[in-house]
Amino acid sequence: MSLLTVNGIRFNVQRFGRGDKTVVFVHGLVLDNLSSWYYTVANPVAKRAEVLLYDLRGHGLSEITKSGYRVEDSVADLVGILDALEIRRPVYLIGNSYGGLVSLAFARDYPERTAGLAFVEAHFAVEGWHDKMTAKLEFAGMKMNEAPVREWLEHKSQRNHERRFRKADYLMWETSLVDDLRAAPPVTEAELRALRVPVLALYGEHSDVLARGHELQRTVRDCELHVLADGTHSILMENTAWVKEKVLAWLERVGR
Amino acid sequence: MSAGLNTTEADPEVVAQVLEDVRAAIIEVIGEDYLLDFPIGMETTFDADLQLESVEFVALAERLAERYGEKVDFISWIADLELDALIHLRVGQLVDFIARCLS
Repeated sequence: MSLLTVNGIRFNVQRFGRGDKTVVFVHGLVLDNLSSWYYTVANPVAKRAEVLLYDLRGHGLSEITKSGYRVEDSVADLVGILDALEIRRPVYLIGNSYGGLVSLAFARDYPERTAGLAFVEAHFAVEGWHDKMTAKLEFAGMKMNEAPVREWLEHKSQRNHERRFRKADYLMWETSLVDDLRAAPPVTEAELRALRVPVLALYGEHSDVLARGHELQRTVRDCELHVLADGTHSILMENTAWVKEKVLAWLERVGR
Repeated sequence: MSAGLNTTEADPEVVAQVLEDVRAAIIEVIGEDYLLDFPIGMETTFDADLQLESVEFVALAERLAERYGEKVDFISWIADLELDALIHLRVGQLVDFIARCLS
């Protein structure tokens, strides 16, 4: 694995593919890691673009720390990774769930380094989000939530199960993660309106955060919203082909 | 079965060498401590047998991509695999794919 030290922390980073775009994938919380993108959309995108995958702090094979899980920390980590790799051109960010919030915050803070945003079931903070996110996280803490590749977990192989959940439990209960997320300020409508890059929003019809997709469509100047019939929050795994098709078509469109 | 998993004949010597390379890479990724008490062969599965985490499989693929360079197009191969096929991959399928590229 490629370990890159940024902000004093070792990050698991994967960079592959080439093309006239750089596409950065950001995964979701706790049980998720870069493999959910690698197994689904990242390789098809890498046939025509440079792809960067990384494990968020405390996730996958990146180092786990006691603190530093605020959204701004995640943005600083991403900026540090891009700088360390000398990726200077504006990037397309594709975020799943919490990864969408990190992507959005990056685009807000570094508009000159952002070429476009694609959200898959993105959570972003609105009034009352803390309760929802916390409930979701507590659910994850009970080892039942959105696994990145659920089939892997269904085997519940001893080694796999043990290591993964030991790390997830530590992340949930021994670090500042939950408190940091609770303290995240809501994203304002003005911030969404200020976005000047093309946005793709993919949500499931039965998702508990579908309202975020409609809000993006209502406020962002160039937003393409697609809602998957019968989809839930786990559309990336439920209908990988649909997500892949939408992302590839969008990247093709916005690159012109 | 996905088109990406077909098993046209590759040079047996190349297959044997690639299997050795893949074994070595697996050990590097998961560490000797976790190695199971059975040999890693062509029929070994990454998920049920080796109990490899998905993020470790990514690290394994990266090591192999670095080792073989441009000769082996992992991106296209993985891009064309269905999620289910990728999850339940056998060592032999990976070895055959690499050996075909090298043969």
